[in-house]
Amino acid sequence: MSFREKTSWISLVLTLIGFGSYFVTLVYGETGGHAGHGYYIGYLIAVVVAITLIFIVSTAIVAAMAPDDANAALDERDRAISHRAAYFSYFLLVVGVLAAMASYHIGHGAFWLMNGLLGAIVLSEITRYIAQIILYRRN
Amino acid sequence: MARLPFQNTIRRLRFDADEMTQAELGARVGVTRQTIAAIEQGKYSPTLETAFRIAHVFGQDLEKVFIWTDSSQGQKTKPG
Repeated sequence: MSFREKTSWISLVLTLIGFGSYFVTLVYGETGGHAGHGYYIGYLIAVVVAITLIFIVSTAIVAAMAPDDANAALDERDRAISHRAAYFSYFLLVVGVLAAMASYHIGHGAFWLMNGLLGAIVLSEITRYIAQIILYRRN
Repeated sequence: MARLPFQNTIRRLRFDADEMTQAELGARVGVTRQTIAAIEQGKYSPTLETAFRIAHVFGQDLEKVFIWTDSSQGQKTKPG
């Protein structure tokens, strides 16, 4: 497994766990009325910081195990895979952004607009990581 | 995955070139070891530039390294 594929796996797992926990907490809390919006903003910041730190440490460990792979520049296959994965994820991003804007127009507030946009970004990133992993396996 | 319409002789050429490794060939043509492995296995179609670079490393013509095998498309014609 190449270094790029490993980092795609790390990003996928961290995103699923981190933002998954955020959105589960958000939906559960909002439907039960447990916390104010400030709590979720704090939770989101904690998730982003945790994901960033764990990603840095995990990637450093993976790079230390195969420094030649980690130091290699992106080649034509890496770039082709990256472009194709971005192509797939872009579609989801556009649909998610439009859905978030529609929900705002039908009466949901700015807080849900923000979370809808965040959800669109997260979904498109998850799609991108999955597409990268599949393309690295198949190509 | 669609099968590529050509095969290649890179594995044999590497063997004949003092058992050159995939990493060595990759370094000489500017791609990673994994990309050379994918090309050898017929999973990835390299750019024309990389195909020429690979052929150049072994001192071969392009058509000695990459051999068109899809008979359903394009009859080979003699130059006029």
